[in-house]
Parts: sequence; structure tokens; C-alpha cells
Amino acid sequence: MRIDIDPKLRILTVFSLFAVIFFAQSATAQDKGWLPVSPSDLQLAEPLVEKGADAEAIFWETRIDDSSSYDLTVRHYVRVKIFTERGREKYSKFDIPFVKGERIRDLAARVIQTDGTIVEIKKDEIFEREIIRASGLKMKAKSFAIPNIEPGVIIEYRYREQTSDAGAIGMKLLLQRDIPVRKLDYYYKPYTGEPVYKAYNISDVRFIKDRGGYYLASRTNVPSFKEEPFMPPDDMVRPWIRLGRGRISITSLLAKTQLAGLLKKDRGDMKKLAAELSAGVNNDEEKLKRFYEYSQSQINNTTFDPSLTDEMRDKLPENKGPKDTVKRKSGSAMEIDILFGSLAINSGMDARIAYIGDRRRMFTSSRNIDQDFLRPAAIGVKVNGQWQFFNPGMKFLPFRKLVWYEEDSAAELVSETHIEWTQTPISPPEYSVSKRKGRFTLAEDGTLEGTVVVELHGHSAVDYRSENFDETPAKLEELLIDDAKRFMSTAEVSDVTIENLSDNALPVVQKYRVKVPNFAQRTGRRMFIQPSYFRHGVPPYFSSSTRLYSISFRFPWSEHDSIEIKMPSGFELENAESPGTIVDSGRIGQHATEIKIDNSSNTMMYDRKFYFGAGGNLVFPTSSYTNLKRMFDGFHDADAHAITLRQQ
Amino acid sequence: MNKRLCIRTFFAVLACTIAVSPAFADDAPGWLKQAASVRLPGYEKDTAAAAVVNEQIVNVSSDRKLVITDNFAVRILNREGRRFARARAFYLSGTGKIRDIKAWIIRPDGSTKYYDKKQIVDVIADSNDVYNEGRVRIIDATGDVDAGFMFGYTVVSEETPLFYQDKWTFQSSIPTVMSRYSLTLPNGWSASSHTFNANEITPRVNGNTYIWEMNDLPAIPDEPMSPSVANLAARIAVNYSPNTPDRIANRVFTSWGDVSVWASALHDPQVIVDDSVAAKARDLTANAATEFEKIRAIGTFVQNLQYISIDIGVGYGNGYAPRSSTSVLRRGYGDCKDKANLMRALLRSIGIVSYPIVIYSGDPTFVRAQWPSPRQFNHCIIAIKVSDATRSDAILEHEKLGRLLIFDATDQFTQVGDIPVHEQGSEALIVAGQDGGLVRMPVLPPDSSLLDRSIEATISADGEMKGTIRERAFGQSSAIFRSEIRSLSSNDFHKAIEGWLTRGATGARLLHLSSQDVPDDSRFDLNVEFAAPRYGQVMQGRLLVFKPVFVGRKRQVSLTDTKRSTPIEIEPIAISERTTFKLPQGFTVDELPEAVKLETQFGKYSTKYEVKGDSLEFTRHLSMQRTSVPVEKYEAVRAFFVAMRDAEQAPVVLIRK
Repeated sequence: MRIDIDPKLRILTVFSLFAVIFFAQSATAQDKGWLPVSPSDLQLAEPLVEKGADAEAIFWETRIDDSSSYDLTVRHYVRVKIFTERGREKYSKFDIPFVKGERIRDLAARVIQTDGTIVEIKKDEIFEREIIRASGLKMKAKSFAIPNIEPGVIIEYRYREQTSDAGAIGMKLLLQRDIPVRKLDYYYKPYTGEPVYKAYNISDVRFIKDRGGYYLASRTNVPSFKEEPFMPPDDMVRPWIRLGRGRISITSLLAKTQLAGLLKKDRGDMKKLAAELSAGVNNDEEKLKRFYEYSQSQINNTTFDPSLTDEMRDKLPENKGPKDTVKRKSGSAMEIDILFGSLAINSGMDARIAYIGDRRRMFTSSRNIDQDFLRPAAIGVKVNGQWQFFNPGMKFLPFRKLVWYEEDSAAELVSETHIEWTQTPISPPEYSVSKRKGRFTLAEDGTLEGTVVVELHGHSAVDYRSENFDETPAKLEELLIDDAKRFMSTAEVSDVTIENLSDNALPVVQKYRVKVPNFAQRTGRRMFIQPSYFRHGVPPYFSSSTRLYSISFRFPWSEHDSIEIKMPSGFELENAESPGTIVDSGRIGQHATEIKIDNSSNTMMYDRKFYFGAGGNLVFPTSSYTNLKRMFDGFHDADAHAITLRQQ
Repeated sequence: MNKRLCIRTFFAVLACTIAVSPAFADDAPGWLKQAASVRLPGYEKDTAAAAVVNEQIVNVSSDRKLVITDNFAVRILNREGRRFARARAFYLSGTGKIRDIKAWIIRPDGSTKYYDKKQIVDVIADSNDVYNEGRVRIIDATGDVDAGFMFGYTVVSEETPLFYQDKWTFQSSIPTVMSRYSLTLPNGWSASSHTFNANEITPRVNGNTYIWEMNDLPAIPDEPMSPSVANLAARIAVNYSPNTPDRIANRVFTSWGDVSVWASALHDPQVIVDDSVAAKARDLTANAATEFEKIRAIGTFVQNLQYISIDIGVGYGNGYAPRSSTSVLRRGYGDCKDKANLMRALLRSIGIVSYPIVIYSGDPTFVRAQWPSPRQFNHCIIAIKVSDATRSDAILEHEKLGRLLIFDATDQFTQVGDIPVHEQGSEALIVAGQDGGLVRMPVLPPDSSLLDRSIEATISADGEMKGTIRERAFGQSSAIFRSEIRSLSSNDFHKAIEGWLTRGATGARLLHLSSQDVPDDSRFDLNVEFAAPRYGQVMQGRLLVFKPVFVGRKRQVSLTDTKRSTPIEIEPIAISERTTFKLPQGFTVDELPEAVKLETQFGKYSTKYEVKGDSLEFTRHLSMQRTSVPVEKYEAVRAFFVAMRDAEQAPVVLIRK
């Protein structure tokens, strides 16, 4: 069992990912600080907040005292009831790291048996050990086991952590824990005035004035936080509070304008280069294409250069401005973006650093900008009055495209003198299409054999390239074979080729030969075959009948499968019905199949067209889960559809 | 010069280089530079790295301390191989120390990087233990290397050995060009060795130095159902000692009886029966009528104590000694030997004799009888002397100690009367003084781990299937369920069962789920009610096609790869499934898959279809026995698995009357 420390301490120290310390004190001191335990809690056999929970916090109290000019003090007091063997295992052992500079005070822990007997953690049962030591830095831990822990007992602990030269601004207060909590309290005494904070994913929690200068934000009967497949990022789902404002600060504004200033550095040289590159071109669009092409193909991108080790990368000289990047013909992803922005500016365009949200962490909107979730990610250029986004530093991105997690996100466009906000565009399903072809022969014994060609476009290609750019050809081949065999374990894959890995203008093309024994099933006179080769054996997207959180997909995508299967002689089609078309009323997704027979060559032609996420619809509320699941189950059934051949 | 000659010449030079050429601190040592110049044989194209030098030099001083030098050089062959560019040096903070650790990389252009003290990370070896003296010093160069780089390190460590016994493994998951173990002894000492997984390796002896060496060793691949790499690798076990027998007590063991006597002295004094232990035993067995019931009551209690490991004084032998039974009972937690020891005390207080067993957990073929040594084990279980009235497949007949019921007091999922599958058939040491020794653990018959499944299903004309699944899992099959239900919250277990259903039938809904652990019968029951719309596919409005195998095994290994390099270790398993499909009105069976019957030395599998009125009854049985199949017979094993897989894909065709 490890307990998270407040996130602020991550900033304050090198090692402090979290730190909690327990400590045994004299019985007198402990008795003074512990709250009475109610007999009903001792006898409780089932959790009150969440049925089937392994453990439940009776209360979880955190007191943040930021009133001192020098120190930040956080007091914790948690009482947990154990219900099951799993709960017992989770709380049986504590491993508590801490780092130099952190002071832990008033620490105590105890176990209360169901008969009211109290077992205290003794000093000699606590071990202090050095977890890690490197370059003069140390992380230590206090570790101990909870004695005689079993289902039914109550465990409680408390401690005070004190950090010098620290404040509470920026702290993240979780309003939902990994176990259910009956009463979850955050007391906060700000340095001055009233608490300033922002609540996420919850609207009915606020700090209310309490005693002793504290303000209290409280929740009761909070169920545990759980993971679900296809759920939005944690910070989009779990309720939490961030202390302080998410607005732009003077410091960050200065840093941003400094970065933006690089776009205007080396003006003379860059103007000359921009003119050279755009010679003979009058429209901005074409000029940008040339600048993009130059930045991406003529400058070695050190961020994605597989021949460089981390050590070599660290030792590379820093480019002070775009001129250095041009001169060295080498630069990091960010330096390449700056070069591109500089060329655009020196060609008379309005180009700025684009700070963009990351959908892997948080969905952001230009209507409600939160600085904490934006980072410099691309260059925004105003073309025909509209902001367009370019990221040549991301080596695998085509012209005027963003990576999927920066699409449909808030964008802050920063120059030395101006800031504007907008929303990045989202690509349609047809941008990220996978075109797959299979040309097969089916043998009498059900063996399928033939060739496969897969083309990856759009985000699928960018993902593939960015995940595999540093792999060897042998490894790429191995990965492709593994992928081809993932749902067809008996498949024999050979003659693998992978093309266009480094040419962003073309799709990634994978080709291979495959032989799948018993692809079709024989039953006496008949043979059954699932023509959707590329979906053979793939499990359904959703298996659970219930859903807690929204459903979120990464990006809109589409698939076009063209499959031809030459059937064995002596067999004829008994049934070649097509599952038809499945589409929702909003046309967010569609699955259409068509099966044709060429009698002259005894060949079946199977054509499957699928898309999902049209209109940028990628996030669906929990209430739509049943319909969404039904739709995807329908897609799955259509893919699993079999046709029948009958022996003549 | 041919390749082998070239490599031999290299090692002749290397031996001299290591001996005579100290390097400047930031310059790569001569042996590493030599290693970097070796031309490697043509390995398989996906080979990640090759160990060019893997050497340990052990010097035993006259005051019986060891100074150990490890030299290791690895050539990175592709980016996957970068993970091998890491130096690791284990030590016990109480009794050992790392004198020095240095590492270098040599780049393809010949330039060198030296890793100094600032780059050493010192971490605890096992973060799961509440306290453990084991620590590891690491130099991590994985981010600094790429294909073509050479990484090498030297570690000099010091320790006082508990035993005059050592072991060395020559082979690993990457190919090895040269692996060598060198032992230098004081005057008047000598050494001997055993070789495992290779032809006998005779050491070169030069004065007081013994050198065991192997060259050009292939990689050992990681394959499913394979013995562990450690158990397939060529390795040696070494005994060394002064040639004065009176000075080697408890340092070198010439028989398993000696090991038993030594271990008994550590274990037996810790079995303390005081009032608290006696009272606990009385309390636990108050309602137990038979000897077996008493053992089960105590065994269940001890198994359910929390597993907590606190290792202090390991270098002084404390890692081999349990804590006292009274202390473990008071604290309510302990490790494997603590638990076995407490159980012995509880049993003793009610008049039942028992003995600890030390065993290697994880690979039943790992322990070798030729080398009597405590260093072959990593776990402790218990043997309980039982009367003829107690009957169990987990009993072994010992010629001196009588009928012994074997029980793992740590494995909380395996009941009394059963043995964890990874311990069945393993050589293990019964710690019983002069009467103790190495014995083979019982192998339980496959039927003791039967998974008995019955499915009642109704199929409607539109293809929907509704029904119930009733599973009764026994022995090790029930342990799998217990492990699963312990690792998942109730909500996640529910979802796991839903996932299991939907893998067999898209859109299947779990209507009701109940489970019951019946530990006294070593049984776990699972009852599922489900509905699966569109399970059967309707064709042309007259055919209804469905697969009679609806749900699969939960832990299924598929041996379908065409190539194999290692033996196949088959674990005992028995599955019996009977499914009754009530067919839709107006339909009759048009075609059934052919029944399958497979019989091999390692397993049997059969399917059967029978139409009874308006129902179709489908049965399948699988039974596999613990067998180690040599790699030459892999094709037969593969054919068995493929035939089984194909049989389970075959559909039934109904036709409208």
C-alpha cells in the first residue's frame, strides 16, 4: 500500500512522487489524537457506500495550512474499514518513501479489532531503509506490516508533513479515491484571503468557511474510482480541485513571448531564405508547402533520428535561432517548428507559436482556456483569415495536419505582442483510412492462402511511423507477423515487406503472403467461411453490459477492405447473403458490406466499407452506452458473418 | 583465419589482457577493447545482443573471504538489445560490499565513454519486502547505446560465504561467445564440480586456480510451456573446501542427509509450543473430528495469515531460519518458512509430527540430486506425518518417516490435500535431521484438477441462445478460480466473466452470476445465466448455423508455432464439458461435425455429438498429464493442439423442416 502525496511536492523535490510516513508514538500521545470509534463501525459487515468493496474509508481528512510565509503544512488522518481478503492484502503492508527536506511529524497508526482491541504499530516494527541513492540524492522509506490484519478490522493513520519554502498553489486535490469514502474532507487555510481554486468534473463542491481560518470542501459517500476501456483521460472523469488559478501568469507569459520572439530572430537571413524557397510562387498556401517541405526534409530532425542515442542528443549544440538550424541543417522538433514559423513570418504572414491542449490528458476548449493544459505544439499561420496549424517538427506529419491528440483542442496563438485563441480542427474518418486488400485461394480442406496488402493513411500512418521509426526491418517484420497471427494463431506469414516508412507523402504499405490452415470449417458436405479476413477472430469492442463513464475514441477512422477468394473446385455457393449496411441515424458510423460472385472464375468478391467518428463525434455520454454497444456489436456480427459453400 | 580459431586467439590474448593490463579509469580496459574487436558469428536476424565475455573470477582468501570480479561485455545488435547495456551488482548490506563498479561503452567509431560513480544508482533489491538487506548497484547505459555499440562492465565485490559452494550459469537468453568461471583457492584447498544441461565440463587447473569455460553458446529462446531459461542453460555447481574435513562443517555438504541435519538445526529450535500456540491449536481444531480435518483447520488458518517478508541477517544464515512460532502467531504475518514453522508448532501441540520441506518453487525440474546444497531452493512447505486413516493424493510414502501429507502453507489458493502444480513432481528436501533427504513430491492425477462444466442452452429460430453454465472446479482448477477472484474486485470479476462470454458470443449478456468457494472439498463453483442474441447465424431463412463450443478455457495456451527450440512442459489438467442444446421448433439437424478422438502419451481429447429428440448433446473431454516432451516430438504436440483448436471451431448446421 502506498499513498499519494500532494502533487505540489513533485515540483518541490527531485524525487518526491509521493510520500507518506507512519510512525508509532507513545500510547498517550496516540490516544489524545484519535477520534472515537463507533461500535457500529466495528461491527459493520458490509460496506455502506459501494456494494462488494474490499475496503471503505470511514473518513479521509486532509488539512492544508498555507497561512505561513515559510512553510506548507499538510495533515492527514484516514480511517479505513477492511471487508475482504483483497482489502486485507492491500492494507497489510506500508511502504512509505520520503526525501531530504521533507519533515514528517506526529505520525501514528493502529489497528482496531472487531472486539475493540487496539494493536499499535511499535517503533521496532518500523524499518527505515534507503530505497534509492544516486548522485548524492536519496529516497528513503519507512516500511512496516500491519499486525493481525483481517477482514473486519479498522486501520487508521495520521501524520503531518511540513515543507519549507512551499505554498499550496497548484496542488491537486482528488475528490474521488481508489476506495469508496464515506466522508472526504479537504480543509484549506490559504495564505491570504479566500481560497482560489478550480473544480473539475464536479459542480457541487466548494470551499466553505470553517473554524480557525480554514475553509472546508467536503463530499460524502464517494464511490471508488475505476478504470474502463475507451474512457476519457482520468482528469476528465475523476472529480478534483486545483488550488490557484489556471490563468496565465507573468512568468509564463514572459516565457511564451520569449519563445515567440525566436520566430523573428535572424530576420535578414531568414527573409533571404524565405524568398529563395518561395521564388516564383505567389500564394501563401504554396509558399507554406515549400517551407514545410524544406523544414521537414532538408533539416535533420534530431528528435526522431534513430542513429542518435540519448547521450548524443544531450550533447548536441543548441540552435539559438532559425539561422543556426539552417546553418547546421539539424535541429530538434521544436527548432524545426520555429524555423518553419520564421520562414512564414519573413514571407509576410502572421505566424505564431501554437500552444495546444493534449487530448490524452484533458479535453480542452477555446471557450474556456486553461493554461495548465496547453503546451507549445505547433505553428499557427493565418491563411485567408483563418488559423491553420503546421507541425513539421513532428517528422511523420503531413502538411497542415496535427497529431490526433492535438486535434479538436484549445489553441493559444502567441506572438511577441498578441495572443489569440481558437480551436484546432479535427480530421474526418476518410483521412485515417486503412485500405486492405486480400487475394486468396481457398482449398478443399479449408486452408486459405494468398497475398495481403495493407495501406495505412492519416493518423494510422503517423501512429505507425512514430511508434516504429527506430525499429530495425527485422523487428518490423516480426511485429507485422505477430499482428497478422494475433487472432489467427495458425497463420503462416512470409514474404513480408513494409514500404514508405520514411515518406510521409505516401501511405505506409505492408505486404505479405499468408497461409491459414482451417480458415474455413468443414462439416461433411459444407464449408463455412468468414470472408472478412481482416476481422477474423477480433473480439467485440465492448463486453460489459454496464458503464460508469463516457466513451471516448481517439480519432475518426475508416476501413476499406477488398477481398477476393477463389473457391475450391467442386464447391458451389449455398449462401452468399450479405449482412448489408449498419448505420446510425446521425451517420456517425457506418458498416457496409457487399458480396459478389464471379461464376466464371468461381471467385467471391467481398467489399467492406466502414467508418466511425464522422462530424468529430468521438465522445459519447454514459447514457448512450447501450446504443453504442449495440451498434458495435452489430458491426462485429457483420464482420463475423459466414457464407456457406456446398459440395457439388 | 577461420572463425573459431579467430575467437580462440582472441581469448588467449584476452586472458593475458585481463591479468596484466589495468586501464586508466576513463579508458576501456584491454579485455573490453579486445572483446570489441571480435567478429561475431552470423546469428539469427532478430538476435538482439550477444554476450562476448561473461566471466566471474572468484578469489578465496586464507581468511575465507571471497573477492569476486565480474567482467561482462555485450555487443548490441539491434535496438531491442539496448536493454542489455546495464550493469547490475547485487550485495547484502550487512555482510557484503561492492568494492568497485565501472562500466564503459565503446562506440562503433572506437570512441569510449566511461561511467563514473556519479552514474551509479544504488537500490533495494526487492521493494515488496518490508525489509531486505539485498541491494543492487546499477549503471544504466541503455539510453546511450545503439546497434553496433559494445557495453562492458567490471564489478568487484566482497563477501563472506555461508557455504563453500557456488554456481555459475554459462548461457542466457542471448548468444554467448565466451563464458568462464574461475576459482582461486588458498593453499591446501581443492574444488570439484557438477555440470548440468551440458556434457561434463572439466576445469583447467593451474596451481590453485580452476577455470571452467564454454564458448559459442546459442541463445535460449523464451517459448510457451517451456522450462525456465535457468533450467535449460548449461551451468555448473561447484564445491570447494580445505582438505581438512573437520573445518568444513556446515560449509560443504556431501549428502542430502548433511543438508537436512544442518537445516534442522535452524528450523527445529524455532518450533515453540507455548500456551498461546496450544490455545490457538485447540481453538482451531475444536470442531475437527478426524486427523485430516484437524490438519485442514490449522493449514487454512496459517495459509490465511498475511505473507510478509522481513529479511535481516541473511548473510549470517538468517535467510534459512524461520522466526519463532510464537512471534509469528503474535504478529499474524510471516514468510513461507515462518508459516511452515508456525504450522509445525500448532500441529505439534495436538500431537501431530511434521517436517519442513525446502523446495524450488516455479519449475519442478530445476533441483538436481547430484548437488546437495541449500542453494538450490527458494521456498519452504511442510510434510505432515499422517496415519493410515488419512487418504489423499498428496501423500508420499517415506521409507523412514512414514506417510507424509505434503502441504504448501503459503499458497492460499491450494487446499490441504492438494499441491500447487509447480511443486508437483519436484525434488525437494525434507528437513528431518538424519532421517531427512531429497525426495520427489507427489504428482497428482489430472482428474484431481478436473474442471467439470455443464451447459444447458436453448436456441431459438432467430439464432438467440439462452442458458446456464455450471462449472465445478476441483484441485488446481479451483485454485485458478480462487486466484482470479482474489485478484479482482467483485465488480471486475463480474466484468471478467462478461468478457469470457462475449469472446464466445458477441453481445452475450450475463444475466446472473454466482460463485461459491467450497474449500473443504477443494472445489470452486461458478454458475452463470446468460443470453446471447444472434449466436446462431440464419442463412437463406432455412439454415441455422452455430458453434457448439461456446466458451473456452480461461487460461489457454496455444501451441501453433511451427518452430520450436525447447522441450514442452505439459501440466496436468482435466476438463469435462457437456452441453445440451434445445433446438428450435421446426428445425432439424442437417450436419454435425465429425467426432474427434485424439490419444497421445501426454494427453487425450475427444468430442461427441448426439441428437436426442429435439435436443443436441455435445460433449468434450480433455485430459493431459504432467509430461516433459522433448523438442524432437514437438510436431506431435503441435498437431494435438491444432486438431483440438480446429475441432472447437466446427459448426453445427440445422435446417428448417
